[in-house]
Amino acid sequence: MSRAKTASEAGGGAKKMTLKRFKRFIPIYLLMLPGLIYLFINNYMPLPGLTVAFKKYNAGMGIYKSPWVGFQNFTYLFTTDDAWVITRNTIGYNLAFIVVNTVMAITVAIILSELTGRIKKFYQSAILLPNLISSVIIGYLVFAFFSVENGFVNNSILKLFGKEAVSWYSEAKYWPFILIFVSAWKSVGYNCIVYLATLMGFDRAFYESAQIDGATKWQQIKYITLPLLKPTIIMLTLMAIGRIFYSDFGLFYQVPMNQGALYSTTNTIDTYVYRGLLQMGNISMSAAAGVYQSIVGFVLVLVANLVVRRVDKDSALI
Amino acid sequence: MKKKIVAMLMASVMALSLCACGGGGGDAAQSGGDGGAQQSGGDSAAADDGSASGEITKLIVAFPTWTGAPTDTEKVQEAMNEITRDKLGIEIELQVSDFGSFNQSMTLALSGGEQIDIVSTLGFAYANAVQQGYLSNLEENDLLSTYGAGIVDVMGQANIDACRVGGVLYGLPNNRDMAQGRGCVAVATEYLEGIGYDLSGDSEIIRITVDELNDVYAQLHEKYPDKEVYRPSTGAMSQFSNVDSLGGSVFGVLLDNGKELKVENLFTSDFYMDYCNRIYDYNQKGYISQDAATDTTAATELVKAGTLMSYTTGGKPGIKAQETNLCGREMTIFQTMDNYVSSTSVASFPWAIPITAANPEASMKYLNELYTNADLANVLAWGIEGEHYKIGDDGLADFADGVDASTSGWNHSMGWLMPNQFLTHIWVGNSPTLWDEMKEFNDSAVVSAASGFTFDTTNVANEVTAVQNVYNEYQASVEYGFVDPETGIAEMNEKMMSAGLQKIIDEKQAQLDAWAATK
Amino acid sequence: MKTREDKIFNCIGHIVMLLLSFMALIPIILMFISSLTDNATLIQDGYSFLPAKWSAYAYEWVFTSNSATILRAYGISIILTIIGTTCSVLITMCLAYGLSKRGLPGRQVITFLVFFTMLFNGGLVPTYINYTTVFHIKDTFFGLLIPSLLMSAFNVLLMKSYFATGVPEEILEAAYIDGASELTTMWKIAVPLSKPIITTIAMFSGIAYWNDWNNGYIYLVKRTDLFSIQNLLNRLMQNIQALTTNASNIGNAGEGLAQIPSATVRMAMAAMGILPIIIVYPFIQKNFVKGITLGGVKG
Repeated sequence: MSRAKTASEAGGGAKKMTLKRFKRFIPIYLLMLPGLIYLFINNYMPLPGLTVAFKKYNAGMGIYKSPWVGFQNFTYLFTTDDAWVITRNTIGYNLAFIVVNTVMAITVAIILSELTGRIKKFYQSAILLPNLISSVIIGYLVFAFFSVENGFVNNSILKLFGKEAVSWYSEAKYWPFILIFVSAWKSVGYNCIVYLATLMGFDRAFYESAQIDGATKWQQIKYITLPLLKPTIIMLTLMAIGRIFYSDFGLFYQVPMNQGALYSTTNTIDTYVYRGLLQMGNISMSAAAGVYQSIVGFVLVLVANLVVRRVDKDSALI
Repeated sequence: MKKKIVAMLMASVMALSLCACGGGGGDAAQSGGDGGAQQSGGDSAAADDGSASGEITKLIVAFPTWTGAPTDTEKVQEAMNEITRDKLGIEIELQVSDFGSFNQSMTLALSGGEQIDIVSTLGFAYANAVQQGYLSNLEENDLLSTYGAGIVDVMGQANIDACRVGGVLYGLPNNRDMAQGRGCVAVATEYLEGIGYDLSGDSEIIRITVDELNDVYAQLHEKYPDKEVYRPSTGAMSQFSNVDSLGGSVFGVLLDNGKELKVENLFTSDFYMDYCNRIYDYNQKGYISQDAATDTTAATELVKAGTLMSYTTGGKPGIKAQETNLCGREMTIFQTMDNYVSSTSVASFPWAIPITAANPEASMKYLNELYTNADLANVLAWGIEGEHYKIGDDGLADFADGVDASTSGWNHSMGWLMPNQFLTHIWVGNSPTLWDEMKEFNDSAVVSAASGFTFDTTNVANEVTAVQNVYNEYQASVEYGFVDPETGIAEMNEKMMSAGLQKIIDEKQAQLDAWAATK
Repeated sequence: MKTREDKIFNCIGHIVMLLLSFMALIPIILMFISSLTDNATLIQDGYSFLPAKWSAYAYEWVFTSNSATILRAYGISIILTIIGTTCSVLITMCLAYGLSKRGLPGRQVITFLVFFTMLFNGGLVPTYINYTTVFHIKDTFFGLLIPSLLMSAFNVLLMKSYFATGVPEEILEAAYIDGASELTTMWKIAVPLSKPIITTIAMFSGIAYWNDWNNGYIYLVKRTDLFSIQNLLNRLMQNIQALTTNASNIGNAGEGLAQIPSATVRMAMAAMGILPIIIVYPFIQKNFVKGITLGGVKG
């Protein structure tokens, strides 16, 4: 509200006034310059390269001089199974991540908010630590567990129960579970902190009066905690839905270790673009997939942002 | 608080200027050291060397090694430049990548128009590179005949023609073992002795039949039930077959050593079913580790660690010494099939001149020198005499005094990748007449009727990608015996067919017919 | 006063949290143990928490026979993280402050231009061509420092909204009326008031730099001396994958695989990659938690 007002004031003010304002802000513009220059170099200068999605790439002519082919790359992308598989995987995993991570994060946050003492700090530190580890190293860790012959799971856990070893890295069907698990391992600690902070901000009086009325713990959670958390949950979920067309490249590229047999359940748009480019050398096709992602992703983010704005203006990104 | 911020600001400004200096300084030092920074190639090289000997052309030579640039790369580069500076007026800069990133760094460099003058196509798939337009025509303006006559002499016109794609020559074959001893396995000798196998006889490679091999495996498994008998690999199927995988892909092959020019579907052939059944049988009998499809540990490492007894290898002179060396145990080589020169083996990883070469004439001149100048070839292959290697009394090369395999600054073990290995010293542990044996081996092998045919994938590029994806998905489970071939192969074949396998086969046949007609 | 129900809840809560903490830490512990396992034992018995034979060979390999490569990589990682974080925080802060400035002409447009970069990029090849042919950062330290990592639009927007909501407009306006310039106002008032978000962005950016394996993979070809520790780890993995998948085309691929450091050495390197984070973690944890809370609502 107030923001819009100031802006309109600035717009509507006298010309002299604007000039004066402008002068006052010159140092500010100078401060902003390095960041803006960086964004220009890093993000805007390469942008014309997207046109290669509409061209038949020829290295001799380079990206900018290769001949145009219209939507041929897109037509091909969508006639193969690939477009369907990578779209399904990207959206499917993100939906699963949203549900699993949100439910777990809220559960953990509620538990943590009730506990006290030094050990609470320890819990929090422990579950947050995985978030700081690079995806390459996570790839190494997952391999230590799921390597077929040497892995801990086959060697110790399954053996203990007298089960046959499973060749994890060649059976695509297990990977949705593994990846969802790894994602939860990595991000539950992080997500729960946001909920925890919201929880700590609640007025304890609600709970006290509920207790006096004889409400059980479960009832308190159901009728007080969750309704109070609702705005935060909605907000975080909406933001996540906005980014549903983008995947965590490190997770999907490093953790399944690039195993061909796993592509059907591990290939997402981001990994497809990267592999198409650097392993098959198919620059045009990979750019087409990238453009597809950007456009659908753009629309989704804008829509999500619009909805967020409706719900709570201050939480919107722009 | 204020102080803290000011301090932070100061620190960052200093850091910025430092890192600017650091970067610049590093570059300057580098260009001073080897006579030219890579980005500004031409100019600085001219400035540095112009005074010394007039016109010096600066070339960038790129190839991969397994683990990246050896530590003494700049020294070796300088030693090579000493040979060619006065003679040809050419200096080079070696750009050595690790194998895993070579494809990517070449794709990026060439699509970014960076100067690369000579490139090895190992790991930077030749056919793919041609298709994307990264390589230049070597016969344009009579480039090869004018500046590369020595190459033609060394390699022979037939071998050179084998590298043509769609009639155009984009690469030059390198001199090495062109033939391949098919159907070979390496078995650790101690286990063979354990089952009382008769190892008398002095031939390097023992010829047996597949049934005899199965028998040996059965005995090994009985005697050493805890050890893995055999470890399949992605290359094992081609290695153990008499198929000619036209154009390097097994989608549309010539069966029976390529005696007839009839392209067939490998995956419906009897051979493929038999092969997969055999491995499936191995797997059922517990010869193969359940880890085989995914474990990335080298088979040789497993043999070294004592968990594995045998694996597939390619037969050639010197193979016994090579495998023994890798495994740290004496190995015995069995061969069940013929020595064979397939249509693609000559053109597996030719040397090429990319389109971003600054001076193709100089590139070709330099390549010519690499194929014909023994001194230059030796430096590239083994490094500097006295520093990296020495010549023993028997005339064989060995590590120089005070260095070994792990401390040598130039030990890439990629001699077979270099343009003309036959010019270089023979390494200790090999037969002193290794290169003659190798030539004999190449000459006496069965040659595919399609030898010299190169498949141009342009028209079916999308199908090849799609079918390759299917193959990636199924290969390990089908060819390592993890699924019943009866069902597994059918399922894979069906998916490949719907991904366009038949179109690839038809295209191969059409190109093969056209190629045969012009012969 | 605790009821019986509270006690039960607490008890279950502790059990659940212990279990979760255990699960969070166990992979990291396994990694440290396997880096201290004898290599042959590891290949034979697999990864285990109680290896039959311990060995410090992996660390010997790292610190003595290959110290030149690995300790240098470590140094690069540290220098990169320090310089990168400093630069990143500075330019992010400056841009965000401007964007938060009410009444700044063109603010909406600039904000949108910043936001837009979160959604569209030119793709790897055009970005690479831009950086290498226009700015020549290939094979320089800048190749690690600049692409993608130096400033994220997300961090800018995060900081901008902190400035906008956490720093009362009235104080800034008052300072300005008192005759302080815009710059002074920023340094003396806005920045000190925004310490939490600044430390947060510094941590986000520091972790991003420490964990980055991609820039080095793309922009370093010849300068192997500039490899960071994550870079080495990534290259090892990529080489293993390339060698195993291409073994069919190259008879000698086995030779290459034999040159790759053994499993325990790889684990030791990974352990070293995590170690600094674990060391710094207790010190930054409090701020980190605060920071996530601040950034949380933004997603």
